[in-house]
Amino acid sequence: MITQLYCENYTFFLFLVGVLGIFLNQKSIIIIIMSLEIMFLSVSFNFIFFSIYLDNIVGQLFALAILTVAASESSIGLAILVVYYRIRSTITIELMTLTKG
Amino acid sequence: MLFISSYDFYALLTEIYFLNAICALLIYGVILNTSYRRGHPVIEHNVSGLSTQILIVSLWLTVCSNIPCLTSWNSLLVHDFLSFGIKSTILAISLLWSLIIFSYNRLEKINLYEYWIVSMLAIVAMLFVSCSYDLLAMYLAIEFQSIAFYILASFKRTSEFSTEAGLKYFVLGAFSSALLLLGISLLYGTTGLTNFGDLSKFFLGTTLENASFINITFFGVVLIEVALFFKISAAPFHMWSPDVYEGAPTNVTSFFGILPKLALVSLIFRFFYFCCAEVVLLLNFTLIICALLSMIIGTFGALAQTKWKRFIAYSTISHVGFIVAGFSTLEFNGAFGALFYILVYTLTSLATFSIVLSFRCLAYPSTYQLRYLTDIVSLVKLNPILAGSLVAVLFSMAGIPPFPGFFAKVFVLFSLLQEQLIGLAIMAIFLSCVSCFYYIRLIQMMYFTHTKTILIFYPIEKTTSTILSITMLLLVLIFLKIDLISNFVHCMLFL
Amino acid sequence: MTSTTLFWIFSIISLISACMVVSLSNAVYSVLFLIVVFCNTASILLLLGAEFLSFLFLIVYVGAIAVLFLFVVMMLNVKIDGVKINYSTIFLIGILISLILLIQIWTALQLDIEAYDNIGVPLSQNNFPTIISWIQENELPSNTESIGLILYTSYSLVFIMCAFILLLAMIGSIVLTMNQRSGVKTQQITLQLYRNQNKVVRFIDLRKN
Repeated sequence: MITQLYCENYTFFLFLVGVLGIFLNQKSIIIIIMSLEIMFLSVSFNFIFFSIYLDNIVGQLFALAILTVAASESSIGLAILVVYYRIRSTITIELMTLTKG
Repeated sequence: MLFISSYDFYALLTEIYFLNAICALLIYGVILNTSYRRGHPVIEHNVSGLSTQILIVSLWLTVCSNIPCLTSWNSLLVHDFLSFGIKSTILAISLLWSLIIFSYNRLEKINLYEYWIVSMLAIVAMLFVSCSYDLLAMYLAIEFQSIAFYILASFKRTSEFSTEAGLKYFVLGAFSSALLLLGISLLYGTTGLTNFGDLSKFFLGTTLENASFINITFFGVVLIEVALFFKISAAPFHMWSPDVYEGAPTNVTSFFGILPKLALVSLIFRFFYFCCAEVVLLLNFTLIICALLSMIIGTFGALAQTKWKRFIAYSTISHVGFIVAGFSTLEFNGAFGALFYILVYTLTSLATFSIVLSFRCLAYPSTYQLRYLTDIVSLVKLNPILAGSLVAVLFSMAGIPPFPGFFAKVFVLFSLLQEQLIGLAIMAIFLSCVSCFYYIRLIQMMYFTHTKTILIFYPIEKTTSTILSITMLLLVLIFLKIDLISNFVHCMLFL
Repeated sequence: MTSTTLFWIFSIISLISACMVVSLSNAVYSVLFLIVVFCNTASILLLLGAEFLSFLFLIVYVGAIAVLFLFVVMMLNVKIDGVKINYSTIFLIGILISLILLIQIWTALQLDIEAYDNIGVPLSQNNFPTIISWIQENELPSNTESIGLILYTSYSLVFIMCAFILLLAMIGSIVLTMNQRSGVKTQQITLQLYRNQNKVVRFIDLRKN
């Protein structure tokens, strides 16, 4: 049977992969936005699992709200990325040094 | 009806009016702006006037409402004196802020009326943040506010600075939102509760000797604390604020600098003092370390700056250090000091930005905004009143009596001494002295430096000078009746 | 296959795919592995019994967000070859962050989970003797129904705030990226409808010169 330990570990490992994707990324910014989506997905899964485990529906409602907010944040992030690309013609990380410090 | 009552709509009267007015304004803007027959008119100035009117009416609606101190919308929101005070302050300050931005948008040729729509939506989000009473409402309101700020930070899409600042703010802001979510999920998963009131009853007695304790819940509270400190740019999570303040256009920087911290500080107060009151006793040392780091990084960072907006960002970090120090005492005296400080800080930063936004130099045929600190040499010859008002603002930020900044620092320091946090108090006083140095260096540049060439300053617009004079009057004369602000904060906290 | 085996399969595939998303150099492959992660998570949710949210994840995450990522990747022409990867900093920072997160979580989990060991999700494969009341089994609200029972009544504020967040995201995307051009030739429907049918086609005899 699927126990609480399995699901919590799954959540934390997926979240860890997302966090490492943000900090160890040396390629491009779109990988960062994808790692953010993985983090939001892992937390949504955590909420739904706890909702079923505790027999409380608020967790699934929370997951629904996270779904909405993650969709709108990713659309805003990709819009900012597109505007950045129009000016710079590249989205590698090394050149983001205009504002130092 | 079992699940909704007419009181729910009364509690949200301001927000309902505000959101309806924003939708009407959006429809108005879209119809006019895309109309081929009228030649696609630029309606930015029109929409700015209408948004100011919306702010006036919602301020009146908020101030005139009764406060029965009840929770509404299935206990998702609360309507008590703290939320009333913070909401009316946010609406009043945003009204004054919008008057400063009138002329700036015209001079900088920002012709998009959506600037005002997005700013108004951000203000509604701040109203929701200040009255949220549930983890779900808190998360949605913080996300609402943050998404509006991501859009505003990258508003000038033809500028490299602006888009890079927007991208950095987005990545770090979304990361902190994910941390907040993980904390909320752990808190919900181990307790099954999301309401602040229920959680406060759950945590009752966790610091007793034989109480059973759940480590994962504690870890969840730590993650929420980290995420909230990210949002108010307390160190060591402050990395985004100098870059974002510098890259964003100056009217957006003024919005960042003045308004969101007030709503978030009231949310932090509700979360730490009411919801997690017992758990935070164990987190005391983290608050003290954050306060100390913020003050040190803010002070020594501002010493090395040469540009206006980064300078303001670092001094903001040191002020936030004082506020977190006020919260680290975990007593209501400290919370009183912190809330008093944030109110005085909001007023002072409104004055600062009204001065910074009037630093326009004439380089024919257009004007440009001053960027470097050293460009204000010999300001006293060009515009002695502006120089005098900058002196008043800098003295208030440095904490020199009789300006209100002195009283704010005194209240925080008194509460620190009462709780035996003497090391933190001594460091705070020492770092205030160091910060005095670079504030007075600016005054010396204005008054006592002689140069051969001076920049020609564009005269200040009428609306900006109105706000400048109002804030100067308040700053200079409030020491005569300081119990106006202190009674206001007292009512918010203890009623 | 028992549900545990299926859970292990789906979770391991999704964790490996998540590592692939982060480490591949071709952006299109990254997005495709992201879709694999989403699908596997939706499958695990089906195993748990949350079928509405599982299909909603598929529709929204895979159908909208991943497609949006693909559009942007195609439009931006992401070329990531030729970037020198600094392995030393990767190892240092990666190990530091992993240690911090994992040590916290594992100590916390070990202390708490002992009490929760035998309480699993009550599925039909478990051998717990349960009383089944058929009327109750028929009348239990499904996942969709139970979410609907609260979303529009008690938690309607969540619904309204999500609506305004979506409005804000829509305004933001349009403000940031739309370039309005003037003089674009579009269809003028009224002119097209007012055409006189007899005068549309004319016959010309080219030999009469």
